[in-house]
Order: sequence, then structure tokens, then C-alpha cells
Amino acid sequence: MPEWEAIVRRHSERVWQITRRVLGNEADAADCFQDVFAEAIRTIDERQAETIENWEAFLCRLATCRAVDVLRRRYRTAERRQTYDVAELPAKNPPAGDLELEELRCRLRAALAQLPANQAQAFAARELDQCSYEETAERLAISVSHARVLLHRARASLRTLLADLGPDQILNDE
Amino acid sequence: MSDQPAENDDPWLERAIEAVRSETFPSAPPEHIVVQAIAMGRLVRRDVIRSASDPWVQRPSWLAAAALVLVMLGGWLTFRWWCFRTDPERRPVAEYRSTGGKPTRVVYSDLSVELVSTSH
Repeated sequence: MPEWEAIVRRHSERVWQITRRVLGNEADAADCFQDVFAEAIRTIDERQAETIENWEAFLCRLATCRAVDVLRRRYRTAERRQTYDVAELPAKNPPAGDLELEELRCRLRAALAQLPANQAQAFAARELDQCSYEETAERLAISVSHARVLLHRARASLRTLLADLGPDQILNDE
Repeated sequence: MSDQPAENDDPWLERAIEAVRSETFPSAPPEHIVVQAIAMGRLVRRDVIRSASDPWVQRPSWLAAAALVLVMLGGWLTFRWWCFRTDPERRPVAEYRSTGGKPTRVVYSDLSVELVSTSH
């Protein structure tokens, strides 16, 4: 087995970028980062590490799944109220610039947390981490066609969940 | 891409995705959480290695097995003893009397020997 420190150092950036992008704040991303490596070390000890050929793929898969888990937990428990506060921001009159972008991010993450886990994982890998369909499928250990179906369903659900942003705003904006 | 039209039919969704993609943050994690992950990994591995080499970690299974063997052995010996004592064909076949206050030895049909006091 490769040296554990070398594994962490080599793949820490990738794991960090995935968790940070999905979760949107540093504290949650740091917790999730630790969870990913903790789970990795336990898994490889149980399975005997020699069986893992592609460490990056293995860690990216864990990072995506755990980040989505944290996101879902966050919006379902303590921070649900806070998320709703963000969601209640006036959609009819979105503030310009950074605040508008921040609102969109919050809304998308809140909506993502309401999707079934496999759809949210597929969406996070494909749309947020910008993987190809093949990479998304590989990351989730599913077929490409299944990944496409999950993404289609995720997009349909997200469109519904974000519907209150409304076409009026698009017209006003453009 | 086959779903490209669907992707473009909601600009708000696209805008939200783009907002998340464009979010800027340091590309590398803070050094202290990397160090923690390394330390945690070493700790977990040391525990696992110690567990694997420590027979007491496995004690529930081997203690249960040992207890089962002892119970079975005890049961078998008790059964044999009971059979031995209640054998209807067991009878004395020889008697060795002794002198000088020593007990008399009685030999039974199953070749067991019992000592009988002759103090009277």
C-alpha cells in the first residue's frame, strides 16, 4: 500500500475542491474532507488496500457522496430554518451583483439537498464538478445511460424547485 | 448532446449552476486539516493493526468456543459417570480384604474398584 501521507497530500486538493464546491462553506467542507479520508482509511483497511487501483477516482467518489450527504443533512436538520430564510429572500426583486449570485448558490444547494441522493450526486459530479457523462458514471459506479437518466430527473426536479425565481425576472433582467 | 435543449430551457437553473461554478475559494485545503487527516489515518491504521495482532480483541469468539467445549466435556463426563453408577449389571466380583485397619478393596464387574472401610 502507498504511504498514507502521500495519498492524502496527492489527492487533498481534488477532494477539497469537490467538498467545498458542493457545500459552499469552509467549515462544512473541512468536516467533510476529514470524513472522506477517515472513511477511506477504514475502507482500505477492511478491503486490503492493494485492491484499489485508482485512488483519485475512489476518493472523488467518496467526496461527492459524503458532500451530498452533508448537504442533505444540513438542510434537513438544524440549518433548515436558516435555509428557508435564504429561500424567502425576495425572488421578485433580486439584488444585483454578488448578493444575487450568493442567493442563487444558496437556492441551488437547498434545492439539491431535496433531491434523492443518487440524483444529487450525479448532478454534483456533472454540473458542479464539470465531469463528462462518462466520468460521472464512473464516479457513481453506474452506467452512462443511468447517469443521463439521473441527471435528466435531477434537472427536472430542480426546475420545479427553483420555479419561483420566475420568468418575470428573466425578462426584467434581459 | 441529447439533453442540451432541456438544459437551456431554464436560464435560472443555468444561472444558479454558473453561480456555483464561478464561486472562488482557495484551491488547496488549509494545511491544518490536511495534517489532521494524515494524523487520523495513522491513528486508525495503528488501531487496526493492533486489533489484528491482539488476541483479546477476538475474545468473544474464542471465549465462546472454549466455554462451549468445556460445557460439552462436562456434560459428557457427567453422563458417563451417571451411566457408570446406574449400570444394572454392575456387581462385585472380587473382594480383597486387608488387615491392620486398611480398607477393603471391592472389584466390580466393570473393573472399577471401590474402597470399603472395615473399621468395625
